[in-house]
Amino acid sequence: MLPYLIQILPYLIHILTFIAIYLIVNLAYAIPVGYTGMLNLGHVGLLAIGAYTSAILITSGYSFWLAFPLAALLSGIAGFLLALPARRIKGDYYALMTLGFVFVVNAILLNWQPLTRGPLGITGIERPEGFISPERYLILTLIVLAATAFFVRRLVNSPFGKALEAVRDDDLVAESLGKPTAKLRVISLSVSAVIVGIAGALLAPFIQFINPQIFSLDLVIWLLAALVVGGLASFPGAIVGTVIIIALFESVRFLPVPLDLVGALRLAVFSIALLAVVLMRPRGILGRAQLE
Amino acid sequence: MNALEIKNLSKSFGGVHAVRGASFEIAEGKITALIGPNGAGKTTLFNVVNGFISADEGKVFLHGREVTASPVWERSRLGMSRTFQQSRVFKNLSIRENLALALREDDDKFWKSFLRASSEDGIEEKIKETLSLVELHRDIDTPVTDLSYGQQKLFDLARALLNPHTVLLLDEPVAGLNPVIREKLKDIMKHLKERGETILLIEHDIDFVRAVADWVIVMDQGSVLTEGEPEKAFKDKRVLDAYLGTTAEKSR
Repeated sequence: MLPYLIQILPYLIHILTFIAIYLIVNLAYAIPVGYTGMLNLGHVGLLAIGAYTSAILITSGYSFWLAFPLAALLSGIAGFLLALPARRIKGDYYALMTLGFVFVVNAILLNWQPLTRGPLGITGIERPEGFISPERYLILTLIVLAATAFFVRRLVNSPFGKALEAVRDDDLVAESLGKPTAKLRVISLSVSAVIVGIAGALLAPFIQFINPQIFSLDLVIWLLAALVVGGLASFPGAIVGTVIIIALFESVRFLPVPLDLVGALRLAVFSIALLAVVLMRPRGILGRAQLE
Repeated sequence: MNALEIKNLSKSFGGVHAVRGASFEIAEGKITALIGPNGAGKTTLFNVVNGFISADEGKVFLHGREVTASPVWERSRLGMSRTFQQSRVFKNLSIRENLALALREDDDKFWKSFLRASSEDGIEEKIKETLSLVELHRDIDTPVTDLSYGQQKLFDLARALLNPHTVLLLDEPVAGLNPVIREKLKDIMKHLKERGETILLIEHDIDFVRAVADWVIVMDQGSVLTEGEPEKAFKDKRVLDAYLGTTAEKSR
């Protein structure tokens, strides 16, 4: 058993880091979607902005510790701009608009070649001094995850978090109780975008190579599916959903099937899981609210 | 100074003139009832006053301050609080969480709220006190969706009372309620009058209006037909015509 564990330890460290980064993303993603009721599909675009900011700065010789806050800042600004139309556009229309944002970011990454190297992507993204080894980088990621979890949990349990839930449940009643719903939506998405930018800044040096394909429609669906499976407006739900989706995704790798079938099988397993949750527990495993 | 002034308010939806040049004043510390037959424009007027619908023409003043262009949340912060004809709740929250939202005035301030997340001094007492006032005896941690229709109407009133206000707008407070709760609400309204609340209410139940209102404004076809003390207003021939359709009969 022990030799086997030692053999798979690098894989375990890799997958744990991967889960930790996407937990940061989804804890943040839960703020506008689960708690504020904004069907925002643009978070992958924000993650890409964070990851590319970090990758470009690091490969240009700047420190990770400079890239890290700048990635958060740029993603936060993009999130603020993405939130502005939410003052007037809601529901499906807002979802479509934010999905468009992902395609726009993707098109920029593909075509602004002098900066992003287009479809070739950016390679050689170094991890910071002191956190170069995978296990040390995992520790850094876990520290950021712990800070994110503390922040998000406190936020959603604060009066501000309850005001966000009021906006989700009935924005007209929230307005009639003196809640500036437009402002609350903008803050909700902007704060979330800052955290997602941080996750992007961690992702790029973790995989050390990024290209626009990573930030595609597939990831939009995975992120939303993780929230729906775990349950909306639930802090543990966001964690459980993310872990389940990544575990399902990875488990297919170990099935005795030809390699060229793995992709299709992943989609099948994922679809069945999503369907099962939607049919049996419409609010997700631990959810308190339902997307409408 | 009047608590609320409505000046020459008009609102149309396509070719339908829901409110036409309505003007009236609401005195402080009084209960004013806005009555009229179905389609008279009461609810539209109510929603324009509250800010849910913007006016085509005219002005709304709250304690002398013009609020015609103010968003709903700002009118609330200036002192307007309302209930709904069909009770509306934050359905994923408990009674406590719903009512605490009405009490808090600065929960949109992200950092302030974030830094004092657990400080909720006095909120529970205020909630219990107000629920006791409206005679809604339920555990405050009950999901709000567990309340019956009648209880939700009482809950709605409690929420409007907890929302810091100077003027209460009540949209058909006794609609769909059984006689026992109607009587209970009469007593509650009398108590609110005694404590000096300024109330504008829409109501179809004439007995209820007669029992609680100090002043009655009668609307018909989008305009103010007449206003006065309840007994006087109810004896006005134009009011009887509007309710019984005599004028319409004659015009045929």
